[in-house]
Amino acid sequence: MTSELAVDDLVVRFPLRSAMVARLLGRTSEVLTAVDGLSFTVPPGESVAVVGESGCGKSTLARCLVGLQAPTAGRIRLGGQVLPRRRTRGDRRRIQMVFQDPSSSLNPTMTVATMLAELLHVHDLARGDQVRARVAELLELVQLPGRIAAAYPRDLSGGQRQRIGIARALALEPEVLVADEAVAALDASVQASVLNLFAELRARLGLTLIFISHDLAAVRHVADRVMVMYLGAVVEDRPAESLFTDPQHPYTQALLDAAPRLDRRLGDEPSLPGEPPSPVALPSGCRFHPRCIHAIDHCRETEPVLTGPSATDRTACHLAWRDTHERR
Amino acid sequence: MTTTALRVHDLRVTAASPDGPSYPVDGVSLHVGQGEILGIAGESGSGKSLTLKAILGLLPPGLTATGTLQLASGDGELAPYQSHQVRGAGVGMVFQEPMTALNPTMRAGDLVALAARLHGRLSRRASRHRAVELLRQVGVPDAERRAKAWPHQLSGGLRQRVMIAAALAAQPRVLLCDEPTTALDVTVQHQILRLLRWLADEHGTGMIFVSHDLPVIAQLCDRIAVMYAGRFVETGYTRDVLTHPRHPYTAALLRAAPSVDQRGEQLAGISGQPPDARAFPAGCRFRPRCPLARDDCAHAPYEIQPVAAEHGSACIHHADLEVRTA
Amino acid sequence: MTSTPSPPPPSAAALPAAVLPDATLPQPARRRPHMPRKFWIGAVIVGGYAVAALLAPVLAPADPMAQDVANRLADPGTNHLLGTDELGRDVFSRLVHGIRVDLMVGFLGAFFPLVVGTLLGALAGYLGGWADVVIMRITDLVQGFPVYILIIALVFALGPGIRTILIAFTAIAWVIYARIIRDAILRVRSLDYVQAARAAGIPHHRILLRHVIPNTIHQSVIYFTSDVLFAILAVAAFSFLGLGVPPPTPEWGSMIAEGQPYLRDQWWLAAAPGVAIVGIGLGLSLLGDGVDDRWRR
Repeated sequence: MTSELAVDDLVVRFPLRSAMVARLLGRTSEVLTAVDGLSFTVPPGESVAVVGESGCGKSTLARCLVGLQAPTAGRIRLGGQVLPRRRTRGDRRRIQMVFQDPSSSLNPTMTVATMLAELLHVHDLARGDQVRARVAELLELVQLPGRIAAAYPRDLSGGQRQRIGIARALALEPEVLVADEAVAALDASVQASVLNLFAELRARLGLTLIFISHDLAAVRHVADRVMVMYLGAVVEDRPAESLFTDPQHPYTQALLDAAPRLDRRLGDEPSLPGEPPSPVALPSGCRFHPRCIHAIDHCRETEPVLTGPSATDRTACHLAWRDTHERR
Repeated sequence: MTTTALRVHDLRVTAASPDGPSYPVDGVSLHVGQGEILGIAGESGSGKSLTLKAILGLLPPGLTATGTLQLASGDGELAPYQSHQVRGAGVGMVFQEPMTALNPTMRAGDLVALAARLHGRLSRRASRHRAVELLRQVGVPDAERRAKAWPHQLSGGLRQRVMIAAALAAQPRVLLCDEPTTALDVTVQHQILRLLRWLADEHGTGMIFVSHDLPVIAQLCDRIAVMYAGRFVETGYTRDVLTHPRHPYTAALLRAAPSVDQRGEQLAGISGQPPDARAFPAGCRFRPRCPLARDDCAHAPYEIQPVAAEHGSACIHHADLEVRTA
Repeated sequence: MTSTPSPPPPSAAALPAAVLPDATLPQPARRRPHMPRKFWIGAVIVGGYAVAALLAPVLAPADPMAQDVANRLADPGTNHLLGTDELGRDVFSRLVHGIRVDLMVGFLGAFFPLVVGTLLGALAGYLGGWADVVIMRITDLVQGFPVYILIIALVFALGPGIRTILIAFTAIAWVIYARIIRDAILRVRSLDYVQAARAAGIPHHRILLRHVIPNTIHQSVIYFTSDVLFAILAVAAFSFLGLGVPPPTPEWGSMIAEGQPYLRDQWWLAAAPGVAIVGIGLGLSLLGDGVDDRWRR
């Protein structure tokens, strides 16, 4: 039922100034590169986390996957079938998204039941009496009591709303679920139960999960595999366990060092200097070299290739896979 | 033993409504020493942000505060103050979203310079020098050039540094920080946390750091107060509280937090949701969500009691909790 | 349990108690806020006018057109509640029947522009591109014209009458609704729930009608109440000038005009319809303000 998701050479660029205005001003039109040639495949049922700082292109990737953003180049395949730029209703059904902010992602003028029923109706997934039964079933799936069907979003708490957001995505019986910072806006106590829900749904429905987040602790809890993005490109793509225990890219290392921990005080560990440079003017060579403490001349000149022992164990760093002591 | 910079006693925020008053902050007492960082942890609606606003007299309309506020004067003596008197002088504030907290029509340097002028009665030129100096101090690279930038031209991290510089211009004894790193990326958050720690250690600035993020508080704060439903439920040294929680709510928060360092099988969420200030339960307010609740909790005082040296808990069954976690 | 193609739901009993989510609905304190008092006062006033219009044949003691020249300019009294006018017609009856004309022209004169403007504005905002450019340039054009000059030109072109006035209002007043709806849609379109609807493959017209317009329409409704008043005032003004509703149809504006020569001795001839206009104006303003307050909370 679930199929392999493949992304080939995906590029998304946004013109910052229209070409015509640029010509009038006698300047070249500036282009923001949000996603810069991504390629990866996700086997059915796998849970992949995409992590990175704001502006790294992870949300643009999410919007491309669900068809809210047309790529500048490249293609997305699901089960060998290329998803067209203009997706049909049937295409859209196969990849669904859970949004970040549960307070803005539900239509305030619709009850939960109306909203879910509309989806079932539009996609012809249930008729007549089945609709009511299916709505009840969806609510049970996200562990909410049936009477919530009659509620409006304003009657619900943040956690309940996010569960409805998940139910909305599941209503279409998708093969791939994209969660874009889906727990970031939730309180700590609620976050935990929604993370648990993702893990459960995956086990139960065999969904492929693309979990986009800046929160490494949450990622550790749900992901089989982690892709670290920096300035539109993947710099490290490895099984979660090896990435967390033995990061190869210095950027991954910096993210892990910076992640706050309950059992660690601020120490002498260095902060990663600066902030991500502008995606309008990408650095030469390795895109991370201006902030990298290990950078050598080679890094400034040649862009490293994303490579490693296997297709799902790759790092884009000239110094990766060497002895850790040598790098330090 | 550090000298106390700020002391708050029995702070209460009253919200008037046609259905009668409610108390979103309901009797909070705290103290912050010089160079000490006190963390207030809590979920949305716990009253933690209102506590800060009440200390600084920035409550939104419809809310009023009562209680005693004392601030150390020049010779270190604590003296009562009116909240509007200390704004910009004795107490500074750093907000969560620097984009909306900075005046978009003023250049970064002018924002800081204005604060410096108002405080030190400096000349225009002297204040401008002071501004660049402060920006450099808070780690703004290329401070002279950045002083001429507009807020929208700066990244989130730099904006937060500008706001900290503006708060420091008045040489406050105490800095109130309301989730100052929540909107920032982890690497930038780390830089800002280090900056705050450095200000406390090197300049002796006392701080109250409000956050919903326990790991962040664990990294930064000397002492912690866990807030729930308008009151503190546990207070103590950060390490003591986080390693030996004496309140079930603290313990539940700790169990709910995923860790970067290990893959948990299943996280323990907390069932239910925080109560609304208009309908706080009688007795212990955490009782409806508490896994350890018993009948007598309905009559518990819901007040911090000492349970160990420098460690307080509002749970009447805190002794049981110690057995469980041990 | 019914058999469906979907996977079996998890059984809640199998989960440890600690992971059960917040199953409680919040306290009733969080219920939707009710309409403020001024809304209800306005509703009672406007409703009163509407009922009077419906019951005009019953409420009016006399035929509003019946002339009785022998009894012209009679003082208010038991026979004639508000006296008679220069042709001996019963003023109170004319006033009551006038509600029918003024209220109808007022509501239709605001309703047609609301519909036309909402549809065109929705198209411009949601489709964007050329549709947006063309529709918005037309609104600029219409807004650039002085309103009353435009109406007068139309009256001369089409001849006076209710139909002309309605056409003129629709041609002018749709612009503001188009702008309100377009701006609201541009704001709503980027909201997550509209994006979610797009991602779910819900067709455009459905998104527009069920997700976008219901969340933007209240601004138009607020404007609508003040537009009704504007239309009533305009009808009265044009009738006063002889360009609106032709005599002998009872209408407040023409009644004021007819009463004008007798202001010194029979001041109520002009004052009564004036008060009627003020009353409906007050009612509509309170109504609109109330809706506004309700949505601002």
